[in-house]
Amino acid sequence: MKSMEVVRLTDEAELKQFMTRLLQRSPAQETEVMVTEDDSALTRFANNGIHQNVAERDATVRVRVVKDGKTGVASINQMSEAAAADVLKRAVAIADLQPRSEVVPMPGPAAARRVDAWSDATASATPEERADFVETVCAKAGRAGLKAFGAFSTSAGQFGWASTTISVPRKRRSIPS
Amino acid sequence: MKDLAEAALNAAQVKGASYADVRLDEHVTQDIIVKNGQLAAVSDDASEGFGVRVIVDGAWGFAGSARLDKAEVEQVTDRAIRIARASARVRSAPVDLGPPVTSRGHYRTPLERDPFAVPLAEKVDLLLRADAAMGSVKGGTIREGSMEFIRQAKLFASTEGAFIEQELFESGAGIEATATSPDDVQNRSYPNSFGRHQGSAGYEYITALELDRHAGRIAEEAVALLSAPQCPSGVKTLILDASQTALQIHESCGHPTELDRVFGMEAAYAGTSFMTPEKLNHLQYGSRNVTITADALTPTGLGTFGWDDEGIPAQRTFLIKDGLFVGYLTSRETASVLGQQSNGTMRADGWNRIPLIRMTNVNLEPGDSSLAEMVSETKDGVYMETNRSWSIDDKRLNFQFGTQLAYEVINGKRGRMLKNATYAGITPEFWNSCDAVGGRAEWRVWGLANCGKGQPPQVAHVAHGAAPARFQHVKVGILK
Repeated sequence: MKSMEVVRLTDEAELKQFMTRLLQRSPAQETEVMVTEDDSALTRFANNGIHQNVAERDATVRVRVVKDGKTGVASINQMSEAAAADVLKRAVAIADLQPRSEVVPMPGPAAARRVDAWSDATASATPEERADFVETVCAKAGRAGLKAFGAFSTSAGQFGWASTTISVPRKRRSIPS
Repeated sequence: MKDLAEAALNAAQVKGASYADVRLDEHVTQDIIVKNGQLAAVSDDASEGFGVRVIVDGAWGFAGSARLDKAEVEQVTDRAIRIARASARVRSAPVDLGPPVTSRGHYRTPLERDPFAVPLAEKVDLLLRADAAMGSVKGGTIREGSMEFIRQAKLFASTEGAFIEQELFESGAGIEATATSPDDVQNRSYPNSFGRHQGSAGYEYITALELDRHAGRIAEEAVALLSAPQCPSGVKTLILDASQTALQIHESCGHPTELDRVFGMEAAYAGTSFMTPEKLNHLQYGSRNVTITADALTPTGLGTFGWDDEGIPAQRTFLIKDGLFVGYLTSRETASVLGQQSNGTMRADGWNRIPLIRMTNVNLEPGDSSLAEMVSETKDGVYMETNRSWSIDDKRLNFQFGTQLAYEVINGKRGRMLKNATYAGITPEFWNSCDAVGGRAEWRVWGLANCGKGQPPQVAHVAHGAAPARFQHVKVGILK
């Protein structure tokens, strides 16, 4: 599949397993974990030529814990056992320092609406396709005696959310701009 | 980590890169916010990963990933190579980096007390004490205090033989008081606006700010501003405090001397520059009182480091010398276009971004005056302190700034407090009207942790050494 050549996101089962294990090892009464993962690319052009051309693959694991009526939040960008332990430890340390106050409750079970935000064409866009697009723009500008400046980006990502009270299935989305 | 770096460089060379570098970066940030006597938020964020930058067929490619293993290094390096090959199809001139850079070494921010070893409770207590001092002033509405601490460990290696490890620390804090009436909102902050004052330093930097000692004063000033008269409009003598002078340097000298902006590389986003190459060594940018340096060696500056993200050693260079425009902030690629060598200003805000030309510590060198002397010599002027708003065009010529606090200056004396003060100008006219700069005793390094540039966006932490400065014939207030 073309998209798999370019966009690399963690397998859904692996993502769920990571979140489940993180929740299981939490010492707090309530815990939620939110994982966002993105694979994105951006091609910049100036003076009718590409001068910067980049891509990245990153994730954010954000953990919220409620312990003894106190809330703590911490984040990390790794999805490993060690990272899960570290982010939980830091979230609990923050919770311990907070004053006891009204706690924003973890959401209860609810039906998750499916949102269709995925385009294979965007998710699978290659560096060559972005360069072709930019070349067309720059050539047209050049023929008109002008200089073109701009950027062309494509990205794809997924989002997972789970708590000790509920889990929401993975959502995927892709963004061209 | 060294193994991963070597794997990336080897893979890049095998696959045809004429140049490659790799940065492995671990970034930890702690933010604390106290609001109206309560701990409002603590965040603790960590990010690590690596980025590989290559030149293939004379064009750049870059890819990064948060996954730190050899298989990922291979894949990401492949991706960077493929991206560079695609870039080469639509490039202008081939990239020329100039002479090879073979720096090797280790650098650590000098500090007395590791901010991450300071208990969270101690930090919160300091902010709460400042909050209480602001709260003791009648008439205040909102009180806020914040701290930020950053530790960045990074490794840079290149196919030219550079190998550098750096451990950089930042510590910052600030407080702000807001007063409201039915038809007005006024705020004062200390030591600076934008939430806090920050430096490359340890926790000793925070304690030296003496937040609780200044808290009552700024709360009183916020309340007093509600009933202060509006800043009058007219052409007057303008005296800026050091922190506003710092932002003036940032916007009207720092940005326009970035050589990538000059070459149009930021034209679609951050903007361009009026300081084009034919003006180099010819433009009388300012008066003889104005000497501005880019100095990555300035103690506690947010632009202080051992080497930039291309392996160029930290250095001090002149941008403006006795008013004459004499230098740019450069990278290896842009400097070679002018037949120069990089002066070491390339920085990325994380592993997942390419380095861009960023200000280091762009400093207005101290003069021989003082704030008291400037006031005593002024017949009809306004003194302005602490930035509240800024606006400048994309060539960095026409600007307007607003400040939190102002005082009229009449016949050598400080007069009434004024609110909603603004001033406007055109960069070279403004700096050529500078007739006094404060001396070393009033000179201070101001951290600015919100400088945006680049696509995907990056936020740089930079600094400006500045003292109070005076300017003649400036448009003050909102002119009709």
